[in-house]
Amino acid sequence: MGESVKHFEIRDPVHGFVRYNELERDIINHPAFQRLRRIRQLAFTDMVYPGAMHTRFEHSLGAMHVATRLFRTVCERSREILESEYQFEEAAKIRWLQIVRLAALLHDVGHTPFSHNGEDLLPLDQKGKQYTHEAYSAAILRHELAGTIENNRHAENLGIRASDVERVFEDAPSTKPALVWKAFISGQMDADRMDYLLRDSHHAGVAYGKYDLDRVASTVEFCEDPDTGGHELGIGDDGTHAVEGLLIARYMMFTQVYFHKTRSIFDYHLAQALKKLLEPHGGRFPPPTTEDIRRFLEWDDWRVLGAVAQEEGGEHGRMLVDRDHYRCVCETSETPSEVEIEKFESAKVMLSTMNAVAMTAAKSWYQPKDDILVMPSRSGGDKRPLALSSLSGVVAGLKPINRMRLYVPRQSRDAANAALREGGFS
Amino acid sequence: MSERTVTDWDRYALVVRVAGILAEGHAFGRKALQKVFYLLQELAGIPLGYRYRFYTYGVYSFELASTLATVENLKGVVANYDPAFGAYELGRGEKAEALEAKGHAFLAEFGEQIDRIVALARGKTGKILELISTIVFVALNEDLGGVADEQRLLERVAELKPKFSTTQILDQVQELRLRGCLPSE
Repeated sequence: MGESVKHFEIRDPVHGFVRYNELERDIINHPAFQRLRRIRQLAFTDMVYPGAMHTRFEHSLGAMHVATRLFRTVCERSREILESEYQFEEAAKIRWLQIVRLAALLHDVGHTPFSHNGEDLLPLDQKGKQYTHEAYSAAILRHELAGTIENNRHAENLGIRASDVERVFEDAPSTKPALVWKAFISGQMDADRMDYLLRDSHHAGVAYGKYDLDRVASTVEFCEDPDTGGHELGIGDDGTHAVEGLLIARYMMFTQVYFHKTRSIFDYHLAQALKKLLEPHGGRFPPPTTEDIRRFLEWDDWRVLGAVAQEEGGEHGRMLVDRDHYRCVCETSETPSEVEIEKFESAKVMLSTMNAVAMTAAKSWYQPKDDILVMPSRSGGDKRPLALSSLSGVVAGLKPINRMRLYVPRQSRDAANAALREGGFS
Repeated sequence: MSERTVTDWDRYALVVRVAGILAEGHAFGRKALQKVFYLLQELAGIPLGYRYRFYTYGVYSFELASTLATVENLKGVVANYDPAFGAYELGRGEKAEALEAKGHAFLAEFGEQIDRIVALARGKTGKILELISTIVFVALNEDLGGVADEQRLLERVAELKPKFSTTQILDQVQELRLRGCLPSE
């Protein structure tokens, strides 16, 4: 302890300078992390928003930056909870800040090519459940990056092991402090989402994802959930309107970018092309085991694009190259009624002979109904947190987006439209 | 375990059924529903397909949160904010019957499992349901040298849920064992 740690800076289009230290530099320079330069954040969103070519590399740096801001604010504003409920002493702060930064930096290191699109092609674990990209992040940390962390003098001085970092983003319960800080990496209001909304908005060239990060990051605190008594990351009442902005930004980004009519069908074409490319490899990505993790790391966007350019991606690979996507012929409202859903299901059956594909917003990783707890003013009497939706008419009015769409090959569009008209669906 | 494919309608029907029963005469919130569905999936083996993660507030599935939001939107359940409770209370909505009817076959097929978990959860607060789901999560996911190693189970749960006394944890472990939800030895 007491040794000075060298810091560096890198320019980021969203946050300005992002600072990192020698330990983080060694990780960033590791080939497993450099691979993230070759994993696009939003897959083929550039087919609609040409600027959206950014990668998981810059998002990971951004998530680390935001997590640091959240950590510092929470340590200050929730000191009492941290000390009394979690025995979190002041001296542990530097160590845990470093662990949280590493967890944020590495939380996406296990993504498949083109991020979420390949996740359905991950293999099953021993219990028959599909592996997640977080399981791959953990395996990469364990098998590839542990040495970089544990041989670093700064990490050694702080007593940090790779397993300390892994525990912050694993699904299963781990140590009590790791559970507390996990909220920053994967929770209702985490550094991941706070970064990607701003970043995706910036690169897509839209204003929908913008919100007041400075205000949110300076007003977060732990709140006790009245329903269960557990703690979750909420907001002080001085940040209420800023966090309203965050939720509206998520809503808008979902409707305008993530679930854009044309953008989302490219997810399907990409997934089909990946499936074709994986056929000679058993139909799945290699599992996150000691023996296979390096074979997984060989998969990145460049490899996929190269194979697609070599016409190995089948018909859907060709569609990606030619931007010859399926066309939307039928969609429900954003919040369909029972009758609408039934009608949609009938239309899907009717168009099944035309290779119709259904895309549903509810299956997206976006969760529109998350509530945020708001801690009342410190000077007030009642210290019980309240649900933001009970305080904000704007948030209460945000309905879950459950829109469903049907797509058919371009050549079948006219026939599908005619059939839908005839069947009374349009 | 059944190889049956569970549809969204089945999940909606189950939300309506469970919320309807457990909200009767008690404040039953969204987070409490999360814990009950965890038990339905992991303890009773109903193949709902939700991915659960563990937080300071216990097990939670973002996919289930989305399902619940949809059911609220379809008026299968209503969520009313109760300032005294400090959270949303669930109750049957005007379309509850119609949604339950859509999952009739599913509810019948898994009726026994549903009844078993509902009986376990009935009358319990969200806090206790969180404790129970944590006990089950630890027992199912951690290598404790066999879940019958009660001392290790109690210590681990106490570490994760420091708000609960050893007696409170032990009470719930014993009830789970009595109901055959955990091995008795």
